[in-house]
Amino acid sequence: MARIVIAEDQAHIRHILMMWLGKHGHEVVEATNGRAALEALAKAPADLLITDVNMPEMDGIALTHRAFEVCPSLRHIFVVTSRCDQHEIVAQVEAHRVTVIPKPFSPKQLIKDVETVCQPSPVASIAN
Amino acid sequence: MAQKRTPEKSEQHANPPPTGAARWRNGGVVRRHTLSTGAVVLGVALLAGLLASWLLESQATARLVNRAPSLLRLSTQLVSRSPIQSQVELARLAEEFERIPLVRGCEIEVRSVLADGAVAPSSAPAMRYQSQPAATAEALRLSAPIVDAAGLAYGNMSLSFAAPEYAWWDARLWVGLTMIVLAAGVALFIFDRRAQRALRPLEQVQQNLLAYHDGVEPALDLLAVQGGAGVIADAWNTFIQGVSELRREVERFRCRDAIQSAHSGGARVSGQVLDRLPVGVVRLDERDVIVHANRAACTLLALESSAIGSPLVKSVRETEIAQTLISLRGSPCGATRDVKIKSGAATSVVRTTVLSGGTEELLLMLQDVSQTVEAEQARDEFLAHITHELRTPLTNIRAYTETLTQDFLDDEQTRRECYNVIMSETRRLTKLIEDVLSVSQIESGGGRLVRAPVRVEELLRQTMQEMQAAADAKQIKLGLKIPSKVPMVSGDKHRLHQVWTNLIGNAIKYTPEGRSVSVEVESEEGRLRTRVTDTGIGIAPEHHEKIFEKFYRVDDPGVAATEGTGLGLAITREILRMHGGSIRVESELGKGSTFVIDLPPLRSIEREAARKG
Repeated sequence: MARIVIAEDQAHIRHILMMWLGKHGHEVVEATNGRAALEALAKAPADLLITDVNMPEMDGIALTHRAFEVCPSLRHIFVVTSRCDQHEIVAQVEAHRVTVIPKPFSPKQLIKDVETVCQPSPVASIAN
Repeated sequence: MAQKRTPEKSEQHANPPPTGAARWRNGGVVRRHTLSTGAVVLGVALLAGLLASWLLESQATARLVNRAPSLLRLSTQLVSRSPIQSQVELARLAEEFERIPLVRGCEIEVRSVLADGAVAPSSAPAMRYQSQPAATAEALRLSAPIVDAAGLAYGNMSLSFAAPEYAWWDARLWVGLTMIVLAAGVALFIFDRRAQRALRPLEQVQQNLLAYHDGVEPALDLLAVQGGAGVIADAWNTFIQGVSELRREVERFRCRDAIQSAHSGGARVSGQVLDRLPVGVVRLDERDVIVHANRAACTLLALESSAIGSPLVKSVRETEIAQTLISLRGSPCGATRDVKIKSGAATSVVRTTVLSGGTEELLLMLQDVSQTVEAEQARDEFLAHITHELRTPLTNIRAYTETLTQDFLDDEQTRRECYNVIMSETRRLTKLIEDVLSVSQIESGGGRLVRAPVRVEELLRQTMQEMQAAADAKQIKLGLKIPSKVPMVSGDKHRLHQVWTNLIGNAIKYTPEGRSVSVEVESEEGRLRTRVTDTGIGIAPEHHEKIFEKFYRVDDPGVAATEGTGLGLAITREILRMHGGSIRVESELGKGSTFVIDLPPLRSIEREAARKG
C-alpha cells in the first residue's frame, strides 16, 4: 500500500483515479491544484504524486519542481497531460523520477505503473 | 593538288565540297598558276610557230632566188631541144613547166621549127603561150632567150615564181609546236609537283581562310595548319596563334565594355523594377557594403537613402540585425533566417532569404512575414487548444468505460455514475466539435448568413424554453422582460438562436444553484438591445475583452470546474459582427455579469416587405 497524492482540477478524472487507487488498496489524498497538492505533500509523507499539468494557481510543472524538495519520501511522480508538447514537459522535469503519461490514459495501465514503482527495491530487501 | 582537309574537320566546319566554278574559284594557288602558266606557254608556242613559218618562208624565198636562174636555163635548153611546130605543142610544154613547184606562170614566145629542124625565119609569126594570171602573188620573174644549136635566139621564155608559203598549221609547224608544248607540259608537270609539295601549307592556309571568310570557321585556332608542313606552316601557325590571342583579348575588352555599359544603362531600369517589388532586396559587396537596397528593403531595415555605399553594420540601427544578415554569407541559395525588427512599439518579423551568398556578393531578399508568423502561431495555438480540449472528455470516456468492465465495480450506483459521466462527456465532445466547426466555417467565410426578417420575441421565448430544463436542474429562475412591440431584425435565425443559447447557457452554467438569470429586451436609439444577466461568479475587468477570444478561459477554480470549450463567446461575437451587431460585458467579480447585445433593426422597406410576405 502506498500513500498517493493526486493533483487534478478535473473532477471526473480526479474521482476515477481515487476510485481505482482506493480499490487497489492505496491511500489517496486529492488536491484540485498544485498549491493544494504541495501542502498535502508537506503535511504528510507520500510515496507517489499523480498530477495534471494545466491547473489553476500552480501548474503541474511547478509542482513537480518542488515536490521532491517538500516531500523527501516521494519516490516517483506521474504527470498526466492532454497537452501536445509532451517532449517539452519531459525536458522540464527530472526524467528518471518523473513519468509523463499522455491523456487519454488507461487507468488499468496506470495502476500497473504505480504498483511497479511502489514495489520495494531489491537493494532495500537485502539491506533489511 | 591541294591537300584535302580531314573529314572530321570538314564536318566540324560544315564546309561543303566545292564544285564547278566554285572548285575553280576555290582551287589551289598552284593549280591556277599552273594553268595560267600553261596558257602563256601555249601563246609563246604559237608565236614561235608563226616566227618559224616566217623564217621558213624567208629561207625558201632565198633558195628560190638561188635556184630560179638555173631552172630557167634548164627550161630554155629543154625548149630548144624540143622542136615546136605548133601552138598545141607549145602549150603542152608550157603546162609541163607550170607543174614545176613554185612556178607560178610561164610565158613562152618562139618561132616554129621546120621539118628539117631548122628554125623558121624571123619574119615568120611567132607562137606564143601565156599562163592564166594566178591568185597568188608573184615573187620573182625571170626571162631568158631560147637559142638553137647555132646559138641563134629564136624565142624568149619567162618564168614567174610564187613565194613559198608556210601556214602556221603547216604539219611541220605542228610537229615543232607539239614538241614545244610537250616539253613545256613536262616542265610544267614537274614544276607543278614540286611547287605543290612546297606550297602545300599555303594551300591549306588558303582553304582555311576561304572557310573563315565564308563564316564557316569561327575560331581562329582552327585555322592553324596541321601536320608539321614546314617553315611556312610554322610561321603561319605562329601568326594565327598571335592573332587568336589578340582576338581573345579584344573580345574580353569588348565583353567588359558591353557589361559595363549594360550595367550602367540597365541599372536604372532594374532599380525602378526592384523598387516596385513588395519584397526587399539588398546586395552587399565583399566588404559588406550596401551596393543596392530597394525601397522595400529600406523600409524594412529603416535604411536612409544615403546608406547605399555604406557598410551595412553602420547603416542598420541594430547591429545585431546587420550581423545576422551578414552571417548568411556562405549559406546556400534559399537559406532563410527570421529577424525580429522593432519599429516603435511594434515588432515585425522579417524573413531573410539568401539569393546569392558568395564571397564577392551577398544578395538577400527580405519579406515582412509578421502576419504569416502570427497566423502560424494562431494556428498552432488553435491546434494545441483543440487537442487539449478533445483529450479531456476522451480521457473521461475512456477511464469510465474501462471502469465499467472491472470486477471491483459491484456497486450499481457507481455504475450509473460512470454511465452518466460517459454520456455527459460525449455530449461535451459533440458540442466541442460543433463549436470548432462553427469557428472554422465563420473564419473561412463559409458561414454566410441566410438572412430573413427574424421576430426576436419568438426566438427568445423558444430559446428560454429550451434552456428551462438546465435552469431547473440548478433551481435557477429564468426571467424574460420584453416590451410589447419589438422591432424585427434582419438576420440568420439559426445563428441568432446560437447566440442566445450560448449566452443564456453560460449564464446558467456560471450561476450558483438557486439564483436567477434574466433576459431583457429593449429598443434603444434605433437598435435592438438584449441584456443577459446572471448572478454568478462575475468576471474581473482584465478579462472583459479576452473572454471573447478563442479558447480563452479565466484562470479561476469556478471556471475550471465548469464545462466549457472556450469557443462559445468567440463564436457569439463573430455571429453578431456578421449581423452588424456587437457584444460587450458588464461585470464585477463576485457580483454576476451582464452581456449586452446590440442588433440593427430591420429597415422600414424590409419590414414592409416582411409584413406583406
